[in-house]
Amino acid sequence: MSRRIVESLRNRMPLVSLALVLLAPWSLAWADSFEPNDTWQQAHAIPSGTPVESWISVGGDVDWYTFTTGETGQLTIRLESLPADYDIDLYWYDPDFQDLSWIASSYNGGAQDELIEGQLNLTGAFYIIVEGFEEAYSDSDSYLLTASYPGGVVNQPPQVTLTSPNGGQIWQAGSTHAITYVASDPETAPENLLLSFEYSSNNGVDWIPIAIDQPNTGSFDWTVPDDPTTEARVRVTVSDGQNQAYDASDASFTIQSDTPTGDNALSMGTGSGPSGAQIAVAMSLANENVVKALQTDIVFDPAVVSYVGGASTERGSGMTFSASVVDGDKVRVVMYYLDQATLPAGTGTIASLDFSLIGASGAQTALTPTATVLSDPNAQELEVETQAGSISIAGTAIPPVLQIAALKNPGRVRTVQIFVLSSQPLNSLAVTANGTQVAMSQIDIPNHIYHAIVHAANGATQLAIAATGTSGTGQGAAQAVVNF
Amino acid sequence: MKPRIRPARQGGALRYAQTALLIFLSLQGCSSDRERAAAPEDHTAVEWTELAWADYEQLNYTRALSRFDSAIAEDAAYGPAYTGRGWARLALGLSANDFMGAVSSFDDAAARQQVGSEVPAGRSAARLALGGAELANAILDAVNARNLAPQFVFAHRPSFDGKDLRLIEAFAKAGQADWAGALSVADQVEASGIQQGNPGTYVVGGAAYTTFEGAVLAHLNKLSTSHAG
Repeated sequence: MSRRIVESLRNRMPLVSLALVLLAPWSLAWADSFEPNDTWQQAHAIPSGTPVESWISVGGDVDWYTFTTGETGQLTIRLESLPADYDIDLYWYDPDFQDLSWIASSYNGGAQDELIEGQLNLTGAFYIIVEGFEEAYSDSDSYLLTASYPGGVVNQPPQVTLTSPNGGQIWQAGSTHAITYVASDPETAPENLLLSFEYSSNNGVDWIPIAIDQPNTGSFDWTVPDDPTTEARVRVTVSDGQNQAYDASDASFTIQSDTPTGDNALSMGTGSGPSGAQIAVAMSLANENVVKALQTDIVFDPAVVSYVGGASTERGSGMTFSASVVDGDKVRVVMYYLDQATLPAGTGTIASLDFSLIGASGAQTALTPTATVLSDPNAQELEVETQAGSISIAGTAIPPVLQIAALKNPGRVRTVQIFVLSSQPLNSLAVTANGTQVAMSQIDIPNHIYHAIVHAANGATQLAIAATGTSGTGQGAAQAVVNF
Repeated sequence: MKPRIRPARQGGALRYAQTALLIFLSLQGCSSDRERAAAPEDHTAVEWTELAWADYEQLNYTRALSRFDSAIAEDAAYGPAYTGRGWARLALGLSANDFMGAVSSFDDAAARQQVGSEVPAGRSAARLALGGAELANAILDAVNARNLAPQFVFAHRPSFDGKDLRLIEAFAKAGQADWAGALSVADQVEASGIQQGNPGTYVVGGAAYTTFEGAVLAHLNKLSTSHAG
C-alpha cells in the first residue's frame, strides 16, 4: 500500500505516467556493491533490464545509478527485495541547466517494492537515487534495482559449450562419467550461473532431465541410466537468472545396458578314438562382444571319458586357463585375462581339452557346456548360447601299460611304498602284495599314479606285488618282487 | 663277560620282593657291583639300555624293546632309553599304531634332552611309514638329522646312514607326488641324468620311460633296491 505518492512534471518535460505496483520478491542473489556512488557524479552505470544488487548499509547512505539513452519509449524502474523502507527518485540531466531535474519518485511504505513506470519522451542521461526513508538501512540484506529503458542494452545471455560427451563414447549403464562444459556470461559472475542437464536417447528428439540448478563447476558427474541406445546425447543449459543458453552433444554416443546384447556362442568340438586312447577336443567361441573372461562346466559321461587336462589355445592363447573336474562328471573351465587384454569379437578355437577314452567301443558321450558365464571388460555378464560336442569310442581298445615302483623304508625295509603308474586313466586297479589285496589311492590324477604303504612281517624275505588295471575295454598288468 | 639278567617282564609280587632284598643287602653293607650284576634283576637304566641295544644289533627287536621298557621302568627320566624304544618300535612296526608309538617314543626322547641325530633320523623313518600327512614331517626330520650329523651313521645299524636319510626325504616327496623334488634329492644319492622336460633323458637302467614321473619312479625303485636300509 502506498504511503506517499509523488507525481510531478516539470513544465518543460513531457508527461511521464507513473504507477506503483506491488511486486513479488526477487530471488536472485548478487554479490557486488558499487560504492562509492554517493553522488550523482559518482553514479554507477547500469544496463537495461539487468538486476543490480547493492546495499544501503549505513544510515544516510544513498546509491546513485545512471543510464543514457538516445531513444524514447517505455521506461520501467523496479526496486525490489527490500530489507527496509527504501525509496527511489528519477532525475534527468538537463544540459541547458547542467544540473539534474527531478522526474519521478516511488515512495511505498515499509519494505514494499518500488516502481517507476511510464513513457519516456526525453533522451540523454538519467539518474536514479536509492535511499532509505528516514535513514533506513540494512547492513545484512540487499536490494535489487532493475531499469529497463528504451534504447538500452539488454541483458546479455550466458554462453555454454558442452565439451563431453560430444559423440563416440560408449558408456556403461550404471557407470559414472563427467559431463564437462564451459559456461560464461558477459555480465554475470561465473559462480552465479546455474546449470541444468538432460539427456536424450533418440538423438535429441526427446530430453530427459538429469539434474537442475547445479553450480557452475565445469563438470557434472552423471551416473548413466540403464537406457541402452546408440543415439544418446547430453544437453546442458546455463541460466543467469534471466536468460538461458544451451549446448548439446555434437554427435551421438552409446549407452550400453547392464547386460550387453550381442550374439555370443560357446561350442564344444567332437572327437573319436579307441578305448584307452587320449584325444583333444576344441572349445570354440564366436563372440560379437569383447570378452574378458569365461567360465563353463562341460558335462561328460565319466563311464565313457575322463578329463586329463587342457590349455588355452589359438584365439584364447593369451588367457589364463584352469580346469578341474567337479562332481565327477563336469570339467569346470575358467579362462580370463590377468592384464588389460581382451578377446576381441571373432570366431575360433580358444582352448583344447584332453580326454582319455575309457568306455567300450561304440560308447558315446556328449560334451555339454552348462552354467556358462561370459563377461566383458566391465565385468558385465554377456548373453551366450552354447552348443554341445561329443566324443565317441571306436576301434580296438588300447590296453593300459602299468609300472610298479616299490620303495623300501630305509628305517624299516619291510615297510614298502608301492607306486603304480598307468599309461592312461583306469576304470579299476587291483593290487596285491604277497597275495593280500592292497587299497591304493590315486596321488597324481593327471599322471595316473596310485600309492599305498604295506608292512611285511619281520620274517618276510620278499614282497611279491601284482597289479591289474582296466581302462575302457583294455586291460594291463605288472608284477614286481622286493627282496629283503 | 655279559652279566646275568632277570627277565624283562615280571610280576608285581616278585618285583617287590627283589626291592626288599636290595634294601636288605644295602643295609648289611655287603653289596658290590659284582654281587648286583650277579643278580638277574639288578640293573640300572643305563645297563638296561646297553643290553637292549645289544639285542637290537643282533636283530632281536622284541627283547630289545622289552629291555628299553625295563630301562624306562628303572628311570623314567633316562632319555636314551626312549630313543632305543623308538628304534625298536620302528623295527617291529606292522601297523600305523606301531609307528605312531615309535614317533611318540622319539618325541619322549627329545623331551628328555636327547638332541642327537638318532632321534630325528628314527622319527623320519617312522613318519615315512605312516605316510599321508606325516610325509611332510618325515622330510623335516630327515633334513634335521642330516644337519645335525652331515656324516650320519646309525651306530646300532651302520647300514642306515646319511644316504638313507636322503632316501627317506626322496621317498616322502614321491609319496607327496612331488616328482621333481624327489628326483632332486635322490640324485644326491646317485645321479640319474633325468631332466624334466627332456624325454630323451627318461632312461633308467637301460630302460626308456615315456613320462618324467615314470622315469623318476624307476630311479627311486633302483635306489631302494641298491641303498635302502
